[in-house]
Amino acid sequence: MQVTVSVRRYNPDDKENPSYWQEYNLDVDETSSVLDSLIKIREEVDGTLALRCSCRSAI
Amino acid sequence: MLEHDVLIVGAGLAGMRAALAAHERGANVAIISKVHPVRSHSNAAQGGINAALTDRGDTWEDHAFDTVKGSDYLGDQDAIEYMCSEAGNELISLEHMGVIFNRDDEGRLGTRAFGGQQRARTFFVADFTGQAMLHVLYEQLMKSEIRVYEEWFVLSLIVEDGECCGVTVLEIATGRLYVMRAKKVIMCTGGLGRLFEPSTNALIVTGDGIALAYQAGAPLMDMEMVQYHPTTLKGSGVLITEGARGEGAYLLNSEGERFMEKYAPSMMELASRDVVSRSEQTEIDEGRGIDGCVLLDCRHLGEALIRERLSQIYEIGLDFAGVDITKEPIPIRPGMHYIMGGIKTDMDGSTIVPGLYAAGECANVSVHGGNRLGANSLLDTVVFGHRSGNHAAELVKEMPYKTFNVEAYAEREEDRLRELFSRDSNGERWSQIRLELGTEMDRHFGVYRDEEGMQTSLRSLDGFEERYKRVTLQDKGRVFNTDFVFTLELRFMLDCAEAIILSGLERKESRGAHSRIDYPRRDDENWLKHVLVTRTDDGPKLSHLPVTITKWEPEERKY
Ligand SMILES: Cc1cc2nc3c(=O)[nH]c(=O)nc-3n(C[C@H](O)[C@H](O)[C@H](O)COP(=O)(O)OP(=O)(O)OC[C@H]3O[C@@H](n4cnc5c(N)ncnc54)[C@H](O)[C@@H]3O)c2cc1C
Repeated sequence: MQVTVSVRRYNPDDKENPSYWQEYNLDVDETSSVLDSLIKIREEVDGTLALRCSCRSAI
Repeated sequence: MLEHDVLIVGAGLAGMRAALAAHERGANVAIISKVHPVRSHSNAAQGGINAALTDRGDTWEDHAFDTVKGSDYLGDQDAIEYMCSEAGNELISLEHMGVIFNRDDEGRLGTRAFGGQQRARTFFVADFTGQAMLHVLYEQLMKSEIRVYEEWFVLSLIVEDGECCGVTVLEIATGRLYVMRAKKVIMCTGGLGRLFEPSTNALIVTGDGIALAYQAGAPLMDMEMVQYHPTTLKGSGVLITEGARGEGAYLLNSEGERFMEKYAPSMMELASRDVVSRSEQTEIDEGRGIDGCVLLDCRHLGEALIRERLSQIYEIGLDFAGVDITKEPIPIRPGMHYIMGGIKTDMDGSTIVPGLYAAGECANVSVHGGNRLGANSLLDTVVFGHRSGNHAAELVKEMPYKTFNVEAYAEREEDRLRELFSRDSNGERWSQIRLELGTEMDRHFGVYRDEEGMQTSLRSLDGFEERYKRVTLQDKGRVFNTDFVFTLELRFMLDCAEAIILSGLERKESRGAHSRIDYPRRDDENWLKHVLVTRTDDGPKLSHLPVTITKWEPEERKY
């Protein structure tokens, strides 16, 4: 399934433009969660995307 | 200079219990955790914690025997005796701190049955016991004003003249490096589940502490003992607690049979985990599975009980498998869950490296031997966390800080990091190697193993090591750079894989979770002993230690 994920990014190192929107187009499984998609982005598309997550089983 | 008498790495149940104990004894204590303390993996524990309470006629000796048998006689019986005899005290003190354990109809603490045990002695808070305990310990931690370095990532241990006396650590939010000094360091960093793909474990469980201790010269013991839990979801690997079977759920094959009748006629679904996982795998391999799974049937438990006592897995079923467990059986399969092996310690948590302790899942005391009983791990974390915290705090009283060249350690780390950051950005990243490593370990170190498969893993590991030398970062910033953190975690994972593979090849028998097709029997004559692997200048070295037997001579294991 094709999805577009829009992420509000924040980078305090960038003094001019610390906060901006970024779009990612990707192919995910029908059963994927939003978290699965974000993890897929960070692992396969864009290593600069950082997010906090740990158990990934909705605890 | 940051310095603390007792420095605890890890803020899960073991780490927090150790910190509170050391603090009560007057030590200056701090905890480092790579995530906020309540995001530690202990949070995921569902089913409960074992203790033999005498008010219902249970005895710690019975609990100890079940644990010894569960371990396939590889657990050290002196440590098991200590853990089981302390269980009641620990449980009651957790209750007094505020853990609201479920109660029975008469208002006493209520129990549920768990696998491999003669009687129900698992205390629980619905199916989120770990979370309940973790939050209560965190409250105690806040009350104590123990310093918590939250979202700080330990990079290496400082060992000066053979003694562990500090750590180098990265503050993730800023990317700044620090050298921290300590009189005693206690590793409470949890397991290494993510070395396997899939796994029930959180994404952060990457064997960091096990590898750090290994790199510092501490032996790792029985690393071949990797637990595959009988009920995990296909694909994601998310856990369905043993508590479901404890409440009475059945396991069915594609023919609708309760197949455990054939393998464990008296304990059925509640035999030890290694036994149930092997039975499931055999059913699947012999063609009585469904799409690589068997079925867990909870329907007869009734909606009311499921919604009250198994509420979390009810939701997990809906969200992660699209199955309403009150109406349909849910497909499950054996999946990687826990590492029985770990940093070899004595009962006080001390390793052979002076100044270095370990407790919780990263340690091996050894109470779980070849197979951990469900609900004995939470117990292990609090009992041995407590004891190691006490022990370390007593020793630091009269002890000065060791002096060492702080700048040299800071520079060494800076150099290492600078080199990594300076590689160009177009090469291979950590994520591909991590996925392949996990798939490899699952293939050859799962429920059944053999020489050929394990040798294949050893060769694959060489390949991963070569690729790791050239791994590159996409993120070159310093602020909250998780690309960088994951790359460092992969280093730890590769070290842990080495220890697991070498230990697996070494043990030429089947015992507990280590089930070899080429050596299908337990061989007490040659292998009633621990397998240790130690890093030396000439590479990894294997050795053995006898198992401590107090009361229970090895017998044939039947359930
Ligand atoms: C889904 C699931 C359910 C379970 N259910 C049960 C159950 O019902 N009963 C039971 O007895 N057991 C259960 N277990 C097992 C049990 O939960 C764990 O073994 C136990 O919680 C481990 O606790 P710990 O304190 O050793 O480590 P963890 O809770 O994993 O904590 C590790 C800590 O170390 C820190 N850390 C790690 N590396 C670094 C680093 N490099 N720098 C800084 N900090 C670091 C982390 O931030 C974290 O704070 C379950 C396990 C899973 C996966």
